[in-house]
Amino acid sequence: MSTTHRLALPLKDDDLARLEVGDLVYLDGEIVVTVGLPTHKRIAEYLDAGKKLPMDLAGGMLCQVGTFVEDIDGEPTSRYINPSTSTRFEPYLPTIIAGLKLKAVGGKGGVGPKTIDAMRQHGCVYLSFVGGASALTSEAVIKVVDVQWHDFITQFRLTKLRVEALGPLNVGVDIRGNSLYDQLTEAAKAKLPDIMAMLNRERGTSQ
Amino acid sequence: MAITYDLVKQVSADLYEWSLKKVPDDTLNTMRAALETESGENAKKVLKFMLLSAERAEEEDRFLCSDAGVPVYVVKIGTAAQLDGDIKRAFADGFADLVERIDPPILKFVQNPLTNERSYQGKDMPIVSWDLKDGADYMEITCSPKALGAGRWAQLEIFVYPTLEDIEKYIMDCVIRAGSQHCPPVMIGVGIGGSFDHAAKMAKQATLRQLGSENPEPILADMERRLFKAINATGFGPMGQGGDTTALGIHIDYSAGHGFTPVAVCFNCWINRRTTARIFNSGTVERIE
Repeated sequence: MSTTHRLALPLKDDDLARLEVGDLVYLDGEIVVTVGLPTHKRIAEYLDAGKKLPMDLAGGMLCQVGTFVEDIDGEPTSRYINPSTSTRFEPYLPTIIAGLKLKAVGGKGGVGPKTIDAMRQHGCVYLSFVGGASALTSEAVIKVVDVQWHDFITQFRLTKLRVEALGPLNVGVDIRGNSLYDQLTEAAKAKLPDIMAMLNRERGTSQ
Repeated sequence: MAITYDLVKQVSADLYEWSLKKVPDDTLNTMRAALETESGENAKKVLKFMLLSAERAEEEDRFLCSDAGVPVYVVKIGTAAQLDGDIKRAFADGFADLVERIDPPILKFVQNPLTNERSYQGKDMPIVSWDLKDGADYMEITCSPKALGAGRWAQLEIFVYPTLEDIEKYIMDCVIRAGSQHCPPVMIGVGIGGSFDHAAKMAKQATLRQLGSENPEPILADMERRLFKAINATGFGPMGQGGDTTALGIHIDYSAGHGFTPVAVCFNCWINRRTTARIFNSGTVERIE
């Protein structure tokens, strides 16, 4: 049975322990977003080299989420946010999760096996946004706290946002390394022979 | 009177903007119907959130998704249409104008695949497929932008004398490979036969057909019905939440070919971005959707 949680960031260990795959979550607090592959690469390189990152990410939540930030009346303002596909960051996420002891990664569509391993080892969850629902999701952003690495294009910069009731986010991977996406894919593969038999029956032919 | 450069520039840009801010009515109606039959509790919550967000985007002139993708057009030029000016350039210029004026602004999504640099322009951008429409005195333009999220899951394989079962198995494999990474419930397009290039084009254009419309080829109409059930039996559900609503629809087109049979499969995410307008010789613009 799935549960809906309202949680404060940074996530605490007992909150993390309660989250199960398939649960829904709403978050309050600060998240860091970027959809840049070069940004993830640079974070991993900084961690490997022991260099200090330009904003504090330790124990926090890093999201593969794009945003357009522009100055309105002298204030940096996020015009909209929405998630990107997380699996493409697989080469860097394990290093980043381990190096920063992240408690949560956000994006959409799940993460790859090495990232799941890192999440299990370091007590980190994966929270999936609803893709294509930018209009409502963006309403959770109440402040742009910081933007760094201005040499990147807008959506690749490291952007820290303060959010209120951000969600619904789906717990895709829990701290025990259970992955909703792996479970669904395995279940679909297991059903495939029956599905093909149904197709053959309805078509009236099979080889 | 004629179909002018200025009109095409304006209309092609408007179509792109509209496609970023409104989910097509057939798609919304299909999702509302799915909400009635969906058995997953969280799947229902996600579907409701999607529908509410789509309504909010339309009401407040906001984006459905932060990712505007890249502009992709299908253009049918009536053989009785009169063209005036550099119509091909009008699409590129319309895109450049839109980047300057659209609010909220769009991000840089046009990527050079050789250098990975991103900007607002690039070789062959916008991507336009040209076709003719016998007898028509208008140009019909459909905009269906594409982004990585759903675009990366398209596949094409060349078969030799495949059976319908082979083709359906391949489509199911493509569906399972994509899982829920393409933001389901998805619109699926399939092209069977012809040639390598033609199959891909048929698959893309099959996604543009109205949901709920009957395929004129009875063999394909039946195939669409059974595959729709089969795909929704996989259980991925909206955004991979688990549930009965993985596909909005599957539309299949075919072409005569030789013994080699390409099968192309592509996906649109649930916002199913698609807008169409006609520009007549008289200068009248009719927005179809």
